Amino acid sequence: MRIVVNHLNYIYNDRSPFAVQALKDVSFTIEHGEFFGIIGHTGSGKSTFVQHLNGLIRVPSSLKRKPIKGDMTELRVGEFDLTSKKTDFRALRRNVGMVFQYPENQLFAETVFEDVAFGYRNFFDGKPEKGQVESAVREALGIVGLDYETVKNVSPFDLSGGQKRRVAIAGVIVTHPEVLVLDEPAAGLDPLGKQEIMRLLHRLHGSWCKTIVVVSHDMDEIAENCTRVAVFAEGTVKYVLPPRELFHHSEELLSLGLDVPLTAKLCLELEKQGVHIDCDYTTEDFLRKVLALGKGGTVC
Amino acid sequence: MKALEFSGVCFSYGESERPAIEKLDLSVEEGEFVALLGHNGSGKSTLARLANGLLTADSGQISVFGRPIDGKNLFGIRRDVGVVFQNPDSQAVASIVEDDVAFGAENVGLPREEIGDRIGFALRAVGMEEFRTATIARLSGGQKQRIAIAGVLALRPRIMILDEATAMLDPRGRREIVEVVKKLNEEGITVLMITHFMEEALLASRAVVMNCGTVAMEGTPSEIFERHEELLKYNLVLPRIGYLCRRLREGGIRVSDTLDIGTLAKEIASCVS
Ligand SMILES: Nc1ncnc2c1ncn2[C@@H]1O[C@H](COP(=O)(O)OP(=O)(O)OP(=O)(O)O)[C@@H](O)[C@H]1O
Ligand SMILES: Nc1ncnc2c1ncn2[C@@H]1O[C@H](COP(=O)(O)OP(=O)(O)OP(=O)(O)O)[C@@H](O)[C@H]1O
Ligand SMILES: [Mg+2]
Ligand SMILES: [Mg+2]
Repeated sequence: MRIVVNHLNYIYNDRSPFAVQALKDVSFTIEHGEFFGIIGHTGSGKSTFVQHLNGLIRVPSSLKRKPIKGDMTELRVGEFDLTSKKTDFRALRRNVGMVFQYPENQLFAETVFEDVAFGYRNFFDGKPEKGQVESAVREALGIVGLDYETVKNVSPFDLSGGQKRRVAIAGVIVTHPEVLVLDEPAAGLDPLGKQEIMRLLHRLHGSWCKTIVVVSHDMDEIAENCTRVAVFAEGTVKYVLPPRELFHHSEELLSLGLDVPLTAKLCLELEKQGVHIDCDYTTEDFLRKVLALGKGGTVC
Repeated sequence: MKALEFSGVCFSYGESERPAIEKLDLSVEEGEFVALLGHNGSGKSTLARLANGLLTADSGQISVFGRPIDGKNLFGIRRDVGVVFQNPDSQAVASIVEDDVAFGAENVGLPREEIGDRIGFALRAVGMEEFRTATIARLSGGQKQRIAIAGVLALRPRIMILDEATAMLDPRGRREIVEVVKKLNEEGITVLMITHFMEEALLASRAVVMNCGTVAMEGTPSEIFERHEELLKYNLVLPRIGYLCRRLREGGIRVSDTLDIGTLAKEIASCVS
């Protein structure tokens, strides 16, 4: 499903002394099949934006009638027009899975099975048969890398941080959403746990969830994985570029208070030493280019 | 003088069969900056809760500046040991930012003007001055985390424990907070920083790796990172730069084991040109 955003604005506590404009005239498109990254400093509007994608935050009808800059707000996810009151938001949520920051805080059931099954029943039209629920849960736990027989009767609270995170993700993807949105999915995990979650997202991207949108503060993760990246700053979108172009602007990103991947920092430093490396900022490509220079030049 | 000392400490949560902390020995000297690493569930947060008396050890002894924690001196212990806990959502005690930041300092009975100054200092340190009268529920995740840190800064404890205090911050926010902590450390505050960011551990004078409720490795950060095979056993990896150095060497570019970006760039440049 293609995601089209045009002239999207959002104000918390509109028309009150506490009004905060969290999104200002945001426009961009996420193509079907992308592994799309969203970066930006604290409070720049990332969570506010992604919560729009499954209708958790609605476009206020007042904005639709009286657009701020005179342009009509547009927000579409595939066929769904999210500015329309008539949209079937339940159907939308079945298609757009949302994994919040620290999703394991929302685990509640007594067993892992029940937790994941809840996500399935919740979006099933009518009452699913027992066998259907069981096979859906089995499949979802399998794809997040948990063994069904081992974990199904375990209390989610007895699992490690990384395992809990995977159960929470299983509860969201159990309906096979076409679009999966994750808000900092690796925050708080130990380094190996982080790597596992990124591997899991790749596995999902190749199978169940055609389009992935991920909010992250980890630029290395972004450079390694994303097709394109949107940079949020104070409620606006500064860039929408693939990593290999985005990090050409490393100096500017740093001056915006954002970070850049290690490979980009090294490229900047090498440039100062008169060595130019033209890479796509993934670790492997960087290594390949540097090693090739080593072979061409005189290796010490 | 020892700021914090655990000797033979064991602790289990309720009925659970596996102890969260098992025969833990650890001592931190006054003025030290220690990074505490370890996989999810290795007992780091439990250690933090034991250190300020929020939890009581089942056996063994925990001392703060030479005084064993005994249930009667908890007030003094909490004044000495300030902890920024892991999940900022569960930490706010008041609804307005300045009240929340003042809470700890008020609790230890500081005079009013002093508290006002400290709120100012703490909010400045975390870059949240303009939010002094804001409502906490209306802040973003990273903003809430900064407020939680300010609350402990305002307390000016002798020992500061940060439990993944920067997990939800953006990279600049993380750097800023770590700099504030580093400065406080230079002014004499003892710091114990729990983190999953290997890069942050590099700033500490000593790194301690926890595994299954006890200390598995200990040394300077660079000593620890030299033992990368062993680190992997505890779910930890080298900082990315360490990994790059290794791969470059394997490819025949003779760089040292530096963890500094500028140094690595110079070494690469002198090898390839
Ligand atoms: N419920 C709310 N009520 C009022 N203002 C809010 C609310 N939630 C967020 N804001 C404000 O809206 C702005 C954008 O917040 P948002 O949560 O989208 O940021 P973010 O980019 O996700 O930040 P972080 O990286 O810290 O999670 C911030 O200035 C924040 O203070
Ligand atoms: N409130 C609790 N009740 C029962 N068991 C708990 C509780 N808190 C933690 N545990 C268990 O105690 C052990 C140590 O947990 P702790 O939270 O100290 O780990 P940690 O090293 O801080 O992990 P993380 O990196 O995920 O924060 C784990 O097995 C955990 O499941
Ligand atoms: Mg957010
Ligand atoms: Mg913890």
